Amino acid sequence: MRWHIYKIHTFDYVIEGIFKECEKTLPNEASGYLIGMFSIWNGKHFILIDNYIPVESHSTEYYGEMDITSIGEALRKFMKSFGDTKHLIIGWYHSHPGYGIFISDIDLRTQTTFFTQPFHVALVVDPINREYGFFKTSDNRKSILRASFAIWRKRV
Amino acid sequence: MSEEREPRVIEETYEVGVVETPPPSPPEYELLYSWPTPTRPPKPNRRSSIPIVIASIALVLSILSLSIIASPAIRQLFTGMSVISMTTTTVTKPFVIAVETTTLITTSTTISTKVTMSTVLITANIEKLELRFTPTKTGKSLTLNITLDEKPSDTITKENFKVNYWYSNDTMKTVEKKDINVTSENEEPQKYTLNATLPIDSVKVETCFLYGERSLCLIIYSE
Repeated sequence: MRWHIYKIHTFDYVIEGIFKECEKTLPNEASGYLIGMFSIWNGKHFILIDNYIPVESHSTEYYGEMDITSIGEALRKFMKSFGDTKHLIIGWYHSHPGYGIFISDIDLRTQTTFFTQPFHVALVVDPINREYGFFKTSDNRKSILRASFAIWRKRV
Repeated sequence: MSEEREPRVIEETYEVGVVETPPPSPPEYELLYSWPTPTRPPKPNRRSSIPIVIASIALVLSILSLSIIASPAIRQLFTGMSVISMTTTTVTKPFVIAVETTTLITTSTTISTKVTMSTVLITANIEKLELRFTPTKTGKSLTLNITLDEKPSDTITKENFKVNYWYSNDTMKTVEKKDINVTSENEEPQKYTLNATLPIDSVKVETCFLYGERSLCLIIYSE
């Protein structure tokens, strides 16, 4: 398999967990951080997402703003659970309940303002239509593009 | 009055390290889903035996398909170019259009590459978008037709377009402005056509239409 054609690799439990978090807040939006590693293998970079941290937000159906206290709590959780040198906040996720997978102007501004590293990604989840997609800022930083991804499940 | 304290500035720095680790892969992990979804069917296991009945049906169907393609009327549909068409649906938010991506793949004997996937991301009032690849002697001619649902306040020129392409080794090149040709029809709705030529061995192309703070990018993977 040509694994390197996928820029993002993640696991079923991450996606399923995020969907559950997004369903909890319906009909309002939900958001949180994506946790993982900026990895390299055989000279090819990729992003490995192996966890997530939900962040409480003041949200409506069409708008969500992370609560500052919850951001602090999320960061403490991150330091406690992933306080190694490998794990990073790889990006963020938020939901679009019922209105599809795209990046709005506000989302674009959030991504280009707060998630400026080459490994930063955004995950948009529509818990009603059961759709999701990853996005990444383009090299010229003027637009945001769909990013290729692969979802893996550990064999038992 | 309490003694004023100097604020403590945290100046610790952490280096972001790239971790050398293999991606999940078989046999320890199984791939559940990927995007883009490979359109090529997986190679059949040579050891597995396909039932003769199914193989026979497939053979008959393939012969029938060839007969249909051989028909002059139908052949026109299959030769010449690959077309990706997309429909747009306006949503309530201003300047945000949800574009339904559909991948219409038409293979062609005259094109050495095949469009396997398309994606659109939008923040522009684009009513219609159509993209064509046409083979030429020197490469692949890319034509992008954009129809805006409003008359733009600024003149649309080649500066509003950017075309990047990639080779299989991930090397990215940008099509020079002199090699981009933009034409427009002075009518409502506003129609614009971009023409650019790509090398025949490019595997991915990103076409961006930049208009003010809005942009639309279309990515096509070829193989």
